[in-house]
Amino acid sequence: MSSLVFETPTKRKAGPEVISDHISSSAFESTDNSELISDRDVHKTCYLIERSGRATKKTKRSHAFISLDQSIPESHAHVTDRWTLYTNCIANLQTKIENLLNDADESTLQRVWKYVASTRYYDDDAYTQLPVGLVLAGSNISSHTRLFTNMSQYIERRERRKAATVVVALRDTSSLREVLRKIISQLVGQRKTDDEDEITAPMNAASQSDQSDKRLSYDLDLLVDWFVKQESVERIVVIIEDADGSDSNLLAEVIRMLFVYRNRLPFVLLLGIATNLPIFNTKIPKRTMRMIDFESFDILRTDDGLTRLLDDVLLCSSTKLLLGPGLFRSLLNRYNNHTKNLETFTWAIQYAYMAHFFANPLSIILDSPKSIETSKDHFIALHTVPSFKSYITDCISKEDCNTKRIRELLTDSSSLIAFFRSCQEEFSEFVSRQNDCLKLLDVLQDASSIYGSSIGKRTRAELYADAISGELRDSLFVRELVLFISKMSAATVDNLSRLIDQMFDQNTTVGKMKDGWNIGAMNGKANHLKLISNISKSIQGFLHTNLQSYTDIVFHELFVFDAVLLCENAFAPKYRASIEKALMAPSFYLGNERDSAGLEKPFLSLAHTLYRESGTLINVYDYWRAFRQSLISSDIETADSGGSFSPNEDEVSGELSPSTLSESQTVAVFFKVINELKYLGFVKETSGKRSGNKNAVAVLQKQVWDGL
Amino acid sequence: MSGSEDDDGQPELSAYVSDQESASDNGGDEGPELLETPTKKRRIDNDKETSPTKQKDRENFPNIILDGADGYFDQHVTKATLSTNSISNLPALTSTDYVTYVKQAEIYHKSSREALIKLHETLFPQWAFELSQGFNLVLYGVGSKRDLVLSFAEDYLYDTKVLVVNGYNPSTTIREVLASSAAILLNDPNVKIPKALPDVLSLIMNTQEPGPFPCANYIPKLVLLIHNIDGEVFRNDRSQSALSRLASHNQVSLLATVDHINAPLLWDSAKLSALKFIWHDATTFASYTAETSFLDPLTLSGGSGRNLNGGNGPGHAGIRYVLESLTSNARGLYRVLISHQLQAVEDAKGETQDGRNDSSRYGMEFKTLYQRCSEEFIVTNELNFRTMLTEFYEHEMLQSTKDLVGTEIIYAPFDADVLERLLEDDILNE
Repeated sequence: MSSLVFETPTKRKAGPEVISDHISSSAFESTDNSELISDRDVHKTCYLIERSGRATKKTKRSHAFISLDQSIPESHAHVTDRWTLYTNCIANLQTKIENLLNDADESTLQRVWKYVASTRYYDDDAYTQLPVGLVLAGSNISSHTRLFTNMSQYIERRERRKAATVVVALRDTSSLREVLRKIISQLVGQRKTDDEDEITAPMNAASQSDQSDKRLSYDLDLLVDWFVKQESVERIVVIIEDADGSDSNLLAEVIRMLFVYRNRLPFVLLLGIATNLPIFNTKIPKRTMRMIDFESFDILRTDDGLTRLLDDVLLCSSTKLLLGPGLFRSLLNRYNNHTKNLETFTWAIQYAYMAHFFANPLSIILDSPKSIETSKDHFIALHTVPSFKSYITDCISKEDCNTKRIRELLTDSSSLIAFFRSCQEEFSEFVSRQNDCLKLLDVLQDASSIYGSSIGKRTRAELYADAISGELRDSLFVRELVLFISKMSAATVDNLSRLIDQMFDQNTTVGKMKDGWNIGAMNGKANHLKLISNISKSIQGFLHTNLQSYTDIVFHELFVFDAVLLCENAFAPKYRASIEKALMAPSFYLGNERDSAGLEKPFLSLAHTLYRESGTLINVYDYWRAFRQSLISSDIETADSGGSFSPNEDEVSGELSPSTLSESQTVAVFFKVINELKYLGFVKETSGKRSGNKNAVAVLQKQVWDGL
Repeated sequence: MSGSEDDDGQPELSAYVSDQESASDNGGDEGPELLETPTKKRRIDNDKETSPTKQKDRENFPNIILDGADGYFDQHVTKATLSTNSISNLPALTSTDYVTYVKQAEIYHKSSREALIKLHETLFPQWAFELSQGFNLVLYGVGSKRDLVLSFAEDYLYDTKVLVVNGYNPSTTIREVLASSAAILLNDPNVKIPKALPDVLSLIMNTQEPGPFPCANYIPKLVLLIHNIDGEVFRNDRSQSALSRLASHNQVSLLATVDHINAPLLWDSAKLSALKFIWHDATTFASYTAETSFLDPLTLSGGSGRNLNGGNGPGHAGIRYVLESLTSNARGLYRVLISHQLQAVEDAKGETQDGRNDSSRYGMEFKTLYQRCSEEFIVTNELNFRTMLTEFYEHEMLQSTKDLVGTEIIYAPFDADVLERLLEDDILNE
């Protein structure tokens, strides 16, 4: 392999260590011992891993799944089937998510496009100002890149060939030249590849003539030349992703340049703003302000995205796996309090699918592959699923228990499969009913006066977890809504009926239910009372029967994924806590066994204990004394428990119990440990200036307080 | 450890301790003895100590609030008078001994550590699966993860190219990483890789192959394996945003490790969403041999002489090394300077300290030094003299300052101990 090509020669900094190495090797013949590291790659900066015949050694795997033999003896076919099932599910899911994310800002995109399309034609007399669209994209910068890429594609798509767009991020560029060069090169280059048939020849000619005319690459005249040759392009849309993120002078300069060329090039500038208009206003000089004619677009990032996520991804009819209430709550929490980013939310959903199919051998049964029909192990495993067990127990405890059926379920695989399929159907029905319920609750809230205001309203995403865990069934919230229905006025009834029509199809359960009410058929007060009691009864009944808990479904373990900790650890780990835990209670990781030499904790963690106990400044010498002392005392404590021990180093004679370490040995260990603490960011060396004496007092400064 | 436990440093904020006379028990002792107490006692009482209240009764140790915000304020309020024990009291240690001893120390907890690694290894298929699904991995936890990650790469990433980046190496540059990645992704030796970072990035990003990304059998063209993505060289916004852009490339997977306690602060939400990390706790307790090999473990040691002014000047060994490589005339110059400086220190003894304790006070005027040197036939002309000085400046063995009148003062930024040892050394006296 040509791996050595990119390898940079070992650039070891001529740091002190190298120097001391040198000295030691000049004094003694350097033995193997004088090097801590034998691996030469350690000091490289970056290198390619060399693979010599590695691939031949291992058979190439066709997929990433492994056989989960520890729980169920799986055959190769099982794993492959599970993998196929997973790939189908995930492809389905990812397409949905991708669509969702791309359409998230559809309405704003449309408004922006309309604005772009409405800008006056550039050779108009009125074209004295540069048209600028200010897109208030909100402070969630993580979604900006996607938003503006979408925007540019949307505009190009809608305008067909009439608009050329270019997206620039000011943070990547440092000068006006770079921005202009970027705009020019992207536009000219982009069209070149776009319609090669038409433009290639003239473009080539142009690039040749460019060489002769010696214009610089950031000269906008180049763009003018290019524009003149374009027949279709009527507008050049320049999108700046982070207009308020960087140097405002740069932005002002860009605006000025585009302004100067406004009569030759039909620029429309779109600025992405993460803050708000007043703040942005203060950043732009008044002189520049006069050059532009702007309109602003506010991207309201509401929870609409989440609602659509529920509709399209989680509670859609083809859903094979549902997020459990605990997981959903934790995700929602993180979404509301931290990320506000739909994309990260969708990762967690994907991760749930991944974990479910990767680690649960029974997940295979969600599809109906041939391979499990003969597998005894899978049936045995199905029998051990807790919800199935409790179902059987329930059946038996019933007076009129159907022993024949139970026996069938326990012994006959085909009837078990059939039972499972019925459960699966129950589950998908459950999903659609939950969706209906949530929508109905949404409608009811909209119609009601109490919850109608946007503040009091609980969105579907908020209700989801309560709904599927059955907590909503007799909750105060639902009772209040039902109470409201029973007091509705005629106008509200009409309103409600209109909303239901909007939300539900005629043929759905709710639609049929609404038809049954015969709204408008009867007039008069008595009839109205009858009507609303009718409505409230039916709605109450509907909610009561449909808001059941997912745990009522047998085999719900296979349909609902609720591993909260797994997802939290994967996406929002307790980073510091785990480092602190490792240092404070290393036994959590290392096991409770004492080391055979009688050392209770690793040296690093010993030093950390002392570190916690110290003040803000640490005298290195004292630190070492304390360190050594704690080594000795820890040994006294364990004097009798320490077992025999055979060191593998030849020079070491006798036991290497911590207390027998010589002073210099502890110093060596101590230095190593301090270096590691320094490396982890716990301590910093401070200048000795404060100590006010001539002795070399090495002082470490504490940087980190646990849990702070 | 500091003298915060000293009797006059009695804290007023210790919530758990009510009996204030406690400190007097400890107060009789001096310095380090005192410092050992908490841990020692703690250890002896280890099995018995359960609750803080009990601790209060058994231990008369005021600094009980150790952690969290309370600990922070407590320890800052009780501004400790730092003990003045010099680091030169530490037993001397040569670097060979250091290496030997550290190697010996590796045997502690060896079996538990190996078991821990085995445990992590069982997760390898999962890691590979997650990488194959378009996520990027980041491993955290105490202990070097270098070997773990490398063995993972060895076993599971055999069908793609793996670019290993040693982020802990201070001479690694983001430019180098990008250039290497670009070379791999373009796979075309004819393309000249541009120099400017944004250009390389856009070149790289243009190599993204369109196509439905949601494909379950995704094999990246390149796996970036970055040891310590939080390494000092990458601790700036420019590098991290470049890396996150690179990681969002649909042909690139990223496998990174982090160690610094504040590492997660590196990324804002935009970068995080580009990085698409899945976090894994990979605590190994392995020693950071490779990662810390760029720090000199012995610089702390007073014997090798820390730069008093807080700079990162060379240690004793370093000075010797530089001197060895210089001409005898240059060594002579240095000898003249430091002997003068030592003399000045001697003279200043007994004078009251005015708070300024840096060695610049004992420096030598530029002109005087030149005169002395030419008297001793060390230099012949000023140009020659200045060339020699430059050498020392560059190794941070000399510094210059201007005194009140404005005359240039040259001094060696080391304290008297180091200078004395240097002077005793035969290097300067050849």
